[in-house]
Amino acid sequence: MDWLAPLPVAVPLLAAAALTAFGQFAPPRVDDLTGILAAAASTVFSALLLAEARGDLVVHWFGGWRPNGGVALGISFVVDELGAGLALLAGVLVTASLVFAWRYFDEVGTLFHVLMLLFLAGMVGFVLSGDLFNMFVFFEVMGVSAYALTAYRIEDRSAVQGAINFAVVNSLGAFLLLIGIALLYGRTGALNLAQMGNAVATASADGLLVVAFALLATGFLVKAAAVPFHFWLADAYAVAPTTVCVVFAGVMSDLGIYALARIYWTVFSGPFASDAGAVRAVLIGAGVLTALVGAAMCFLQRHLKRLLAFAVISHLGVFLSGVALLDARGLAGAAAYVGAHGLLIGGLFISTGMLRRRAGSVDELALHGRGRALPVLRAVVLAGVIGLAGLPLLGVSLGHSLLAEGAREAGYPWLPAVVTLAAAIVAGALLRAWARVFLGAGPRQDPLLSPEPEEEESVSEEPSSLRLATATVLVAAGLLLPLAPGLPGHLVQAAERFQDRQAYAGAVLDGRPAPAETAVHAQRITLDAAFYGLAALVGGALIATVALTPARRRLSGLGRRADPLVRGLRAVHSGHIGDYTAWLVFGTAVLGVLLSLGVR
Amino acid sequence: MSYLPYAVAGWIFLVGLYGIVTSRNLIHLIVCVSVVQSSTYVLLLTIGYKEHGTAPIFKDLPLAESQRAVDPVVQALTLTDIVVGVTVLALLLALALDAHRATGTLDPDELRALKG
Repeated sequence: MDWLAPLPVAVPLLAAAALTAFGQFAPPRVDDLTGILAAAASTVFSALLLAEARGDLVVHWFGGWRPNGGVALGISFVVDELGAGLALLAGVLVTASLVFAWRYFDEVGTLFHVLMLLFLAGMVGFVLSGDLFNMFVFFEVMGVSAYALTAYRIEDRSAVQGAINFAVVNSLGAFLLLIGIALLYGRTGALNLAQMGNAVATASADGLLVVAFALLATGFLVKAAAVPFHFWLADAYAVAPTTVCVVFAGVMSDLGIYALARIYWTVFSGPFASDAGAVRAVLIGAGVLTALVGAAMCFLQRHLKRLLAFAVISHLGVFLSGVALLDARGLAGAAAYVGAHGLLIGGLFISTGMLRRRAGSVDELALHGRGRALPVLRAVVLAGVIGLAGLPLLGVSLGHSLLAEGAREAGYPWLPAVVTLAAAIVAGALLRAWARVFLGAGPRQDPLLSPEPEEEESVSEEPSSLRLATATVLVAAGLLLPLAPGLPGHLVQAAERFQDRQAYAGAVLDGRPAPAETAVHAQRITLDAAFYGLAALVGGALIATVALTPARRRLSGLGRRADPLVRGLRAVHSGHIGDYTAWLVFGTAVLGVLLSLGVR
Repeated sequence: MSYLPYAVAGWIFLVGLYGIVTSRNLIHLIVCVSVVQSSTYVLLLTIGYKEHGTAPIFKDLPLAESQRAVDPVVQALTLTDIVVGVTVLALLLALALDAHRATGTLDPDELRALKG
């Protein structure tokens, strides 16, 4: 069934080409329908692939150019369960956002659908590719369509600025990636991940390998918005159309973290085996920093989309920490997080879009109490926020549970507490915004929050039950995901397979079947993880209460002491592309130096 | 094998970055992005280069000759890279045009609606 592998990429690509050629002659609504059908078909193919990859890796060689004697001549798609799961998530979110966009862009409709389908094809191709250079190409395909989608509302001056920042920073990340690929190719003479891994499997970690890893990691971490490469994300998400944000926030950045895990486990796990501790420490450091900086910035925002964008950055830090544990449970935890988070944050972004349509703004202060008339939306948003905080048994709690176990095994017992702190701050910001908008709680002015330019839009009274239903379905799916029977055990098993370099290389280069099925571990949500989830939620509620009530005045002494920190954080997020580039260079240098100090 | 081409690639990369960091004009900034990308072309071609190598057309060559051909893979990669680069460049320039149309300026300092 390996012929299935190219379909989730080919179908949206072909549909995009057809729409470009014939879209302008077609009757109205054909573009909407084609887009939704192609995205849904891609989703179905990804789901089939996921089922197929349950037993063993699905390897497809394009044009039948199979490897010969361990040398890959052709180009392959190699589908593992985690990759297929991400492809499925991307398909679901693109389909949902196209449903949400139904009649949203009447003026220049067709091009929007073309770009969304290209974007989907790029994302799915990126996770399925078994070839490092093709990963770069798909990275750029999804990048270019994402830049164009960000600037879709071109009349908005901040949209242009956000898109340019996004495009320049991500392009520079891609160039670093390409330099890493070139160095690695010079060393191994291969571009196929499995063959590269075999070529350096017994090598010691020398300077070239460390530099190549640092460059590849930087390239992927730019996409994954790790601090200090994260600046573009908030700018891009704040200005992109809401339908696009659903996909950006739900899955695009997660792909960077997936790719980092993929190249580590297929190529670098051999030479770095004896220095895994150093790699783990550096990457966990980046993850924790990202989680905390994202949470702090999230709390300072009043622009709801920017607030959600920083929440995404904080969560990406958590995913990165999970992957960085270099442990099956940590990776499985990150995967569980990504799935639930993608659906929930997608639902929240759609809700923000509805607020903009129905109440005329995405500014938390301007919206004060205006959400009272929208009781269903109020419930949906609250459910999404609770799921993101990790209410026990629901939402991201499974991810948290697995991550806590992995952290304990890898010798980082403090990691779950830090993750909980970040989750509590994010939950506090989200609950504060929810209470202010939907309950009319708290003051109408707040000097703590970043000033935002006033942008009021006309309120539309058109019925939006389809959009509300999309948001509800996404939030409900995200909340209930951890209850899927047997999911935790399967995730851990998939993660173990993902981290087995020799099985991967054998399956890709020699067509060797997977080692005999190991028993699925019984895996449950542990008690202490339930405690962490509750702590995040209660902490969030407390923070929100303090932020909204006169109690904050009593804490003003603390606030004054934190003031330089807050101002510093704000000043760093300057919106200036030159600054972002300088941070990128600085971050790359730090990553390279730390890795070369740690890996010898 | 000389290290000079690697040094050249590194120099082009850094010069482009310097241009981006200090740029006061979006068009200039975007051309600098393109300069940074050029360094990857140099690097790729250098990695596949062989001293006194021939073009990688194997059909008419005796075996001994063909082993002295330069690596065709990196040349294909460079071509792909150029195509990708042109796409990004065109899109960025279109964005810069729109920025100018909307605001009348190309200075990134004056385009700052998003911050904090």
